[in-house]
Amino acid sequence: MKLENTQPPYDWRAVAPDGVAVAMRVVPLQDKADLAFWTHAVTLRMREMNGYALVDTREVKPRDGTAGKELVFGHDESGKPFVYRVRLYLGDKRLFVVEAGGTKEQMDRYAASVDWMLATVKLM
Amino acid sequence: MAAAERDERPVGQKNRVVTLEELEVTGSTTVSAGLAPTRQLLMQSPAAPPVSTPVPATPFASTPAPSGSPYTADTAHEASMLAYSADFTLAVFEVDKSLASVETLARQLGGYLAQRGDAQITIRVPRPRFVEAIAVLEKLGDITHRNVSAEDVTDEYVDLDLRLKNARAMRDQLAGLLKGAIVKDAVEIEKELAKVTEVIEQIEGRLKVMRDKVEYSSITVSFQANAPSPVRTTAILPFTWLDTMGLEPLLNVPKVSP
Repeated sequence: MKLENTQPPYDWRAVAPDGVAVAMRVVPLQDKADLAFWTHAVTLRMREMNGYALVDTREVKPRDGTAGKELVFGHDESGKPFVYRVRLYLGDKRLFVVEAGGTKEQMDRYAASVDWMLATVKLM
Repeated sequence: MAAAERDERPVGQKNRVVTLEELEVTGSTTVSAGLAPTRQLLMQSPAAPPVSTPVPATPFASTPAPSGSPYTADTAHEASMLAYSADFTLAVFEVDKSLASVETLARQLGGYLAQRGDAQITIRVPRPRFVEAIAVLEKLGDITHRNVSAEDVTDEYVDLDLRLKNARAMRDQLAGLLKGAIVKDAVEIEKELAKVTEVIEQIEGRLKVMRDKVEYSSITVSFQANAPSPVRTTAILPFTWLDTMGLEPLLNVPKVSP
């Protein structure tokens, strides 16, 4: 279900009844940098400062064909494994950050739906 | 002293009975005199120099050293008594499942579980399966720290073995003296015999521990988040949106009226 009153830092957010959340934010950039820079920045932040495990990285493309990167992280919360997926796309002076997260059990169960949502993101 | 007790010793001293002071063992694990310090060979260091210690005839001379990986021992060390060990630290994800996998791996490789806690596990695997074990463990999760090392205990083993032989010779000599001794001397001889027997048992125990340390490699896997450092060693990127990445803000959905 899409949340109507999405608050910062997100520009769009939806949650499933079982607690899987998908969100998107648009980060304005002064300087474009490149996708590798932002991928590295997010990876470092999540691994070295937040203690997340980097489980997988892959090349991804949304509907408009923009090259992007997906990072899949894992982290145990209160002894329960959670999965956090982040997709990064670079636009014109904007960085599109698409996130999905939930318990590993739910993320595995809704993998097809989450994949579909992440793949059908339209960058404007 | 150790060198003097090897075959280069003067003929007259080769079969001499050493004194208890020379055999003295302090505590249960260390020998007080004459031992060369054990060497730490960091397997990750490509510049580790070859060791010139003569290769002794040990029970492990025919044991193959791990091979086929960056941790492969060189030929000079193959016959040495190298005690391999490894420590891995992984990011905290699927800890219970991973701990179970590590325990299963130990059994599959003919090893055993040495210790298991909530976020740490230590297994022992046969030395020839060490490389295989770490190859599997490196795929277990996101490794934030790894350390693989080999401790060369050859010198210590050879010294202890020599001390054991000398102690046994002394025991046999005392036993021979005891047979023909008068009562007054017999009491003193028995006291000495008890002391040397104790020394023999301590050395045998120590040798057993060392053989076990070489036969089975220790591998410890820990799961822990990086502790926040009080002093930053790297600059933090000045992008505040990075501070809001993660599961906590994503899943922390504000309450709304339907």
